[in-house]
Amino acid sequence: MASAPENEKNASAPEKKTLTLKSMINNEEFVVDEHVALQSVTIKNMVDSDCAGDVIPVPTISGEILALVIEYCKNHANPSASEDDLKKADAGIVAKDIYTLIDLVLAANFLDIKGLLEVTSQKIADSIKDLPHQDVREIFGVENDYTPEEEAAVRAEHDWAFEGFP
Amino acid sequence: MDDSPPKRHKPPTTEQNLKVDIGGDQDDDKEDRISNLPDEILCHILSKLPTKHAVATAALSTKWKHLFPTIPNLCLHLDDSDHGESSPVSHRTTNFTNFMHNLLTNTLRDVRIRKFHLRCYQNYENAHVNAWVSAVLGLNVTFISLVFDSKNTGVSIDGIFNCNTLEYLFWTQHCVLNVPISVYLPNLKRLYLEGGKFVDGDAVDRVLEGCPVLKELSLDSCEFEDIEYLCISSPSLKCLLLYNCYQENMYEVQIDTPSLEFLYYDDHVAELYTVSNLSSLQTAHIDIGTSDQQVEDADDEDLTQYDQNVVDLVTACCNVNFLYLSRSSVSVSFLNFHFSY
Repeated sequence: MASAPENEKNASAPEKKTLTLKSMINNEEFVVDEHVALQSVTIKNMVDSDCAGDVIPVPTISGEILALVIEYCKNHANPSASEDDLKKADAGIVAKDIYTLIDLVLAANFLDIKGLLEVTSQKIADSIKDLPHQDVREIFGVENDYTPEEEAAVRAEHDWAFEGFP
Repeated sequence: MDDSPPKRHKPPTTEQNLKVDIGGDQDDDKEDRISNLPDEILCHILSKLPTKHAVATAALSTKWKHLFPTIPNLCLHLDDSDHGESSPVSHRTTNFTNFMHNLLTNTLRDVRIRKFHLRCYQNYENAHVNAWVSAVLGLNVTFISLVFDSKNTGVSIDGIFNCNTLEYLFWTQHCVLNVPISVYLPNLKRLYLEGGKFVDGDAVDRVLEGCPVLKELSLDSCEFEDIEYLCISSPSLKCLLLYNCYQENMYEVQIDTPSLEFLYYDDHVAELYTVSNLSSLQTAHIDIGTSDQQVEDADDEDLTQYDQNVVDLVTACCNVNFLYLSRSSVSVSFLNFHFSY
């Protein structure tokens, strides 16, 4: 993928409309081509209804995560990218630790970017698939509210699902 | 603006972040961790897990127990060979049987599911298998795929031929496939049958009559007992695949499919072909020839008739854009075919 600075002047090309996305968590700003940002249905709705000012504030999403989201949108806004290229690029974006992935899935959900929600959810599912339940509880902050007897009963009901399970 | 530090997940520095300190200072960390992913996202993640793993998350907490059945457009993908290879077969089949029963009658009671894929390598009592599929048919399912590898295991219920919601049915079994007198699958678009034994010659006829919007039909290695005609008659059918269905008993093949666009036919030559309507056909792949048994049993007159049958079928298909003929079909056709174009 192109790594050239986003705002480099290009005199010959007509000026592209850009939007500025600002993370409200650490005030980091990103200038993005409009067609890239509009892959987010949330941003598109704001722009369509004239709710978007010069700077679009993005609450609850850190600059680090917003950068990943923008990278995803750029890749998918590139009309010459092949399906294979996109697959590889997606895999690169989601090759992160589980906590970054959870931030990313929340961002994809908030910004309503279906493709990113899909690949991130899939990656989280793949990451937790074979983990012991205690680790999954840890990751998702799940409090085990079963009594030992209740938990044993749930396991007994779906005994086969726990065969070969750590 | 609130300038307090962002509430973020604790960045994991090592693998150890996935490990748990049992009874340790877990609570201190909890603030940092995500504890409230919306159910909508959790369901989305669950839907990406293999069904077996997704069901097992019920043991995490009472909240998670109730999540799995709320996954929208639930797709079940169950394979009795998943894991557990170390335990004895009888234990595994009992376990799987109990699991299926509990899943379909308790966990998913009154839930809508979209897809149900079941693959069974082991032997099961057909009463159990019938009960599972009956339960699934009651859950507004649109897609069913059944594969039974064991010779004795299969589904035999009228309900699978009388379901309003079913749109796709892929069904492989090696035992008798009972088609009831009345078939009503008003939304079925694709039907793939493999290996089934039909006990009467009209079975396919009845199925097609009961599927008014069927677009694709595939009959692969199906057997027909007591059959004189195999009649493929459907005004809606666009795609027909016939593969390896011609066994020892001779029968006539009748095709009346005015909407058919694609025909794949790979089999031994039938006793006779009656092809009445292929006016929409665009692509045909024809690979028919005589079996060793047919050659052995035939006299010269029969062999001439077989050749003529191949010619008849190829002639009926010759108005297509793409025609693939196998070597055996070509050689016969060239010897006999009068090119009129």
